[in-house]
Amino acid sequence: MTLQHEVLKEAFNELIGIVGPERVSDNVYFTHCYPSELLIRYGVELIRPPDIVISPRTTKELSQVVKVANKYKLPIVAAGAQLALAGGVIPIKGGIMVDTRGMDRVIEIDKENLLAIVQPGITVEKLNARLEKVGLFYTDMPGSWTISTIGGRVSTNGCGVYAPKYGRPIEQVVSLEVVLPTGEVVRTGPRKLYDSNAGYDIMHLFLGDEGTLGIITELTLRVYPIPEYRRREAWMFPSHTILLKAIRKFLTIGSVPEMLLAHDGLGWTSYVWNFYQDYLKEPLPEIPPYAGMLLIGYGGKKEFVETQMKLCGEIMEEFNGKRLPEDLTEKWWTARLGKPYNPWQTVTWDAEKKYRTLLMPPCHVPISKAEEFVNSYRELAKKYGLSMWGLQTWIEGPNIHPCTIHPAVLYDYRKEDERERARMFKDEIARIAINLGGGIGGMFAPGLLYVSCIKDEFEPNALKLMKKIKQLIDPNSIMNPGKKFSKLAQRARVKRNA
Amino acid sequence: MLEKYVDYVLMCSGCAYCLPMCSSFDRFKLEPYGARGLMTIARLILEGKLDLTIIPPDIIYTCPNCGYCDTRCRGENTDVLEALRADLVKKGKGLPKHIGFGEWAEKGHNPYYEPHEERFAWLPKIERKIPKKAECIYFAGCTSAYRIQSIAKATVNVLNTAGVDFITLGEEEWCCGSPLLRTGQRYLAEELAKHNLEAIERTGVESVVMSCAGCYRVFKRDYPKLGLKPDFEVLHTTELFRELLSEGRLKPKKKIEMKITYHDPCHLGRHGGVYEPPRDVIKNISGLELLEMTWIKEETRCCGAGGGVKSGYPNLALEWAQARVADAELTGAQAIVSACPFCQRNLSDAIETYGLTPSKVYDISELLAQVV
Repeated sequence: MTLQHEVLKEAFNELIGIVGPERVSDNVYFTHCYPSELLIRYGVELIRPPDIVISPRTTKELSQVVKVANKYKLPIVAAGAQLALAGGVIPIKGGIMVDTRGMDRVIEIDKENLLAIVQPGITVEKLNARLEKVGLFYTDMPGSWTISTIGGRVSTNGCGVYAPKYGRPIEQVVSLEVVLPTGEVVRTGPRKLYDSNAGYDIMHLFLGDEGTLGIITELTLRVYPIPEYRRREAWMFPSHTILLKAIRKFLTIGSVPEMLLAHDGLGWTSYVWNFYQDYLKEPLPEIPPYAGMLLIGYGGKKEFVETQMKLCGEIMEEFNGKRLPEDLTEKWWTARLGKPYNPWQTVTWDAEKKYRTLLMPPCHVPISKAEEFVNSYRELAKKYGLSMWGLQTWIEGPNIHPCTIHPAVLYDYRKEDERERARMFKDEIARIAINLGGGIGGMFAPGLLYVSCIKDEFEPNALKLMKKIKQLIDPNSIMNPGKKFSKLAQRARVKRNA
Repeated sequence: MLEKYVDYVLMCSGCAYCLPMCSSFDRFKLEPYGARGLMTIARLILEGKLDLTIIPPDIIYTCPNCGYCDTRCRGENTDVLEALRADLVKKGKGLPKHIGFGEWAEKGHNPYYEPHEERFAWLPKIERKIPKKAECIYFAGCTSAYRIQSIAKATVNVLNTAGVDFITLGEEEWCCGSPLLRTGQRYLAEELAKHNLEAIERTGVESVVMSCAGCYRVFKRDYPKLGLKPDFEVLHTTELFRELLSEGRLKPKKKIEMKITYHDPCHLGRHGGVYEPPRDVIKNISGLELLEMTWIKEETRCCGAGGGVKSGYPNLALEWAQARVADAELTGAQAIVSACPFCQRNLSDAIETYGLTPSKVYDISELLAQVV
């Protein structure tokens, strides 16, 4: 099938001129594969798939592509690995889909300044493979580290296991090169320095923006030496509430764990299912569904790590925590940070779970309100008759006390009433988070699924300012329409693409 | 064919864990070339939203069926791809090069356009034993028989040295059907499969040993799927060699001083689960130092020849082989050792074309024949 409109045809021909015929396509077999977001493709009605898919390799190519889009006023959406759970790269008005995964070069590793300069399409895994050779590592480590691209990570600002010590993806960025919606290439500051006080801090405008203000083409990232010693432990608490109290306590004593993951029993079971199936080849142990499970690790000089670990252990015991066997913990971490880790092996799931889709609102609340929020989640899931996938709690950075909580549920995407109930659940839980003084952009950017809640999170003047910024940078509103604030997107429903 | 996989296709969660080592995705960097895109395509075809006959052939035929994606989600992605290819062939949209060797395989019982009578020309007449009851059958496979005969000759030498009472099928050995099954020409493969099984069962021999990882996979995994269950033990030569070494029937007498690296053939490793036997054989040859590459066993980088890519897209196959040889070079090895004639051929071709190091590719049987 070819493009319907003359405009698209002309734009398509110009794009072939830029990247050659092999890396651009208007064939339905290409366009209908986008977006392939994790689980979301069953969750949101696609208003219109892209008309053209393109894979540029350089800043120059991408800048020309954006110029074409701007010239013909075609919507343009930049995508990485498309793994988010919120529909951030779902093109709702068609147009051009830029697959940035072709831009995957490491431009420079600066060992002296502890910096790495990369293109946005490189995966966390490939970057780390290169860094490892010189004894360094990149600290943003999501579960999907083998596929997540750096560009996607900073544009949606997820959270990784090393966040408690090193912070989230956007905190790793020192400098950016961005293609603006008009096609100009902008560098946000010195290439190897984070220097915002001299002018306005424009760099942060493009981080977590979901590609609505520009497309990142080069990033300078902070990297760190691999700690000489690491130790990890796992603890079980009588309840998730008590676990949160323990976390709050040890965050106040100045202890900075390198990694931390907190689940309830259900969430833990969901995530380690694959580990038990594939590695230990034994059934999962019985863990009470509402128990608190904490996975914690320290890294650095051995004496330092052991001291902190001991102090941490004392606090855990104070809150009735039980230490899990060390070899199991070590195996679990190895699996979690190893390549074969994959919690999404639906084939191995129970029959009734196989077709369930995960709905994981990225809520974050102040840690003092976490218990209240967790209780609401359980009540709501019961009220709407949705099966709980469990909780996952993240501490977002050193000495940062708000915490991200994923109140995840599963719903059968094939059943219409269940989809509707899931939609009501997500709206209500988002409202609860906002009312508790939190928000909906915690773990990742709200994408299409939670965009309707954004207006509740900010006061009108803040929203007005944001809209002005968008209009200034993107006068034709071509970049990733429907995200952040759009009337169109608010009509998107949790409905299967049918 | 595709309808058979409807449940599986709907189960795909879209997690994309199938992509990191996917050869074709890594080459083209566009979604339809990876397994996740393929599942989307399959779903849309099943829902009647896309018309299979207008599919761009590159999407479907550039996959070497290495099965990396399957190990990541414990899935059947390559089976879905083969079903799609079968449906395409049925509609007369097969790749002309594939259809060509398919037709020859039907007539000449090999995919190399060679005369069938010459299948065992490499074996001295005196050793072409008459079918009789024996310990095992040596199933040479088309690539060893016509293209890399040194493997077949070496294997026969080793078996003779170990005093294994074996026979060959002679002209009764037909192509196993692997290239046909991989390229969607299933109906032709069934005939070959039936013939081979009958010919083997007629001899009453209880085990069959094969040099080719492709044949091995087909006998082990595909024949049962065609409803034909082999009534005998299927062994790869490396499995038999290991057994012979541990029983003391084979005793390496010489040394080979060489640093080598082992390339896991996809059909033997990922598809057949045979990772250790070849490594154990290598360890038994004194002087050999095994240096492992980064991507091995379940995460092996495919040599790029499988799935009909070598015939359909020869340059692409060479490009991928080049990447694999580069992996080997990083280890500092002097030679690559493999256990599949097809991998050996593609890797050697790439080395010759681009002038790469390590400059030699051996089959395990060739090394073993030198020392026993």
